[in-house]
Amino acid sequence: MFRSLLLIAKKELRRVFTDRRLIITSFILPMVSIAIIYSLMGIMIGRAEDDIMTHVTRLSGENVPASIQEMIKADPTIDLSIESLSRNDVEKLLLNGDIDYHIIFDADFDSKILNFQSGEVPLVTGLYSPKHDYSMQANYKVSSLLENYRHITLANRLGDESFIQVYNMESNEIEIPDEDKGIDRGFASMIPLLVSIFIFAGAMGIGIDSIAGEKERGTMASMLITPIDRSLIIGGKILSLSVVALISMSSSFMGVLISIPFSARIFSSTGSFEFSQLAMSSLDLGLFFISMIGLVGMYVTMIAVLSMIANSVKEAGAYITPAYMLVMISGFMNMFGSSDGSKIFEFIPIYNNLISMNKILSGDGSVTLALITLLTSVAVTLIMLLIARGLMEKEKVVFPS
Amino acid sequence: MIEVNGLKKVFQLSKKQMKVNKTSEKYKVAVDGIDFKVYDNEIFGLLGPNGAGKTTTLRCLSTLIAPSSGTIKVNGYDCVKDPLEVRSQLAFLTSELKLDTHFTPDYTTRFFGKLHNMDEALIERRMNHLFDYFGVTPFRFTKIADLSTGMKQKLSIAVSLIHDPNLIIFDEPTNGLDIITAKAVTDYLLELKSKGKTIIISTHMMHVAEKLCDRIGIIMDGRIKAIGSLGEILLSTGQGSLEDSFFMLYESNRGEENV
Repeated sequence: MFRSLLLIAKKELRRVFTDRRLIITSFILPMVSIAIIYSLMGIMIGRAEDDIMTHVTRLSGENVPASIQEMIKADPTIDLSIESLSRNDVEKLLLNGDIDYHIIFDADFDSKILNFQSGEVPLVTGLYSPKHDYSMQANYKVSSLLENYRHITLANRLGDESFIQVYNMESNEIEIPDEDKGIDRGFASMIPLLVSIFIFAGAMGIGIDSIAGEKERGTMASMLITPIDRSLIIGGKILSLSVVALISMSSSFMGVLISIPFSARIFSSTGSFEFSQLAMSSLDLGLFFISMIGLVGMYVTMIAVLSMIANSVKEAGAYITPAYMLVMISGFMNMFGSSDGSKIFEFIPIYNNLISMNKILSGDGSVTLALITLLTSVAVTLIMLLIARGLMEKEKVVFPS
Repeated sequence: MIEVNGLKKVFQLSKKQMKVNKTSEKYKVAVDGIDFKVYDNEIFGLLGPNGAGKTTTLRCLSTLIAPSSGTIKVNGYDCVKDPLEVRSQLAFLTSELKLDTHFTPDYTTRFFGKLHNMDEALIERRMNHLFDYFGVTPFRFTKIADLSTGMKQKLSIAVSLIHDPNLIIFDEPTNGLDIITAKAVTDYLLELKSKGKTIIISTHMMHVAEKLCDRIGIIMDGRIKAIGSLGEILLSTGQGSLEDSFFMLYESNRGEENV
């Protein structure tokens, strides 16, 4: 029995790995395109951020007091021009991106500041365009500059800077033991999503062709008239598909790793990533593998069942797309969800695998959670296998014509 | 020996099929309780028009589909209860069964040989014999996708006969073949018979049935209308040729339908 299972699996793997086009489209192209796309994303987003940060803000102002003009001049990233403009002209200039910010001070700003006891507070009006990044950045710059001015003014009124200091704040990070550190939080929440999607996407194309495609082409029926149990035929296909999914996921993940020197800026919570962070303990590696292999089992059997129900490759694609959407939704929910969610989530198949992987990468890996994922994954995989086996016995499914 | 008793096969039609067939019936009786026997070392032919139930009968015999009722026994093994045993004893050839065009004839034949639990030496021996007979040897390592239609058909025959089965079921053996390939196939069927094999074919061609078959079962609308040797059929219908007998039965069947 095991010999026949391996025979089918080997034939399926041979079908994939001796087809240059399949190798390129299923393993090499995803790796290369992921590496290029993520690198480009990192480079382009990094450039855009750098550009905003180094951009000299074009600030126009009216009645700008000398004290504030001095503060602005001290900041080399702001270029101030004093001009009196109508509201319409300001809005046009902002919309066209000709200026980044316009600020209007009360004509008697300085005297109102000096005579603050009269209770009259001067008005400062700022105008910026939420459509332009430079303008948004200018708003942030001007706000912090004026906040600084407020501090200085308050200190002057009270006589000493120490009077505005209400307390001393010391915020310190606690020392986290090496085994609990985990990897960068950004990567820890993103990797489970990528692993999940890569496994499903890797198995999807080849799985559809191997099952629905073989049915459609009539090559499956040729095997059905051999003295081999039909469940071994689907079992062999599922086994080979698992190997394909793992290899495809690894190659796609390799693409992510290749892109890290450029993409770390967008994926990492700190803006950088050291490969040494990926050096996990053998226990964590084992737990991660358990959670990941559970996904492989569930996804591959799910794809097999849906491909069997379909009578053509086209139909199989239509059936599998909603499942792919679910996989993506669960991945994004885990990526953007709270790390301290309800315990119920830890019992939901697929989602709990993602939670487990996230926790392991964050340094909070749990043997109990990994075992729960293993149990739920095995249960789902077995149910799917039984369904697949049942379908193999249905002549309408295996021999629909 | 093959014993078919009360074989009935009913298909449930999908809405699409009902629309295509312009019928409101949800079920279609493809084979309607037929009985026949095929004796060892004979060529038995199921002769009938398109849609008579020939292919469905052969699919049931080869265990690809299960009968709705009735029994089929192949050398004592029940097609429903012992499908693996039945399949190990037969070869089923039909144009609907295809080979993966990505592989070579050599790999494909070895693969199917292993599925039949054959060892490498036996596979090699049988493959050499079949490839030589059907002229596949020069294309042994050529991708099946690059073979001509006739060569693909010959390869399919070689692959299905790799395990040297005692029972060969052949659905429309000469359908779609050029005259030379068709001759090679019919000659090989006669050679198989001479080696003691039992052969069942389906055909709608009178000359194929006349030339090859020891006994013929004429099937129409899922029912066997006449069965026996050519001489017995001519005698029972009172006609001078198989063609005349066939059309006489066809007309009488149409008459029954109209009644």
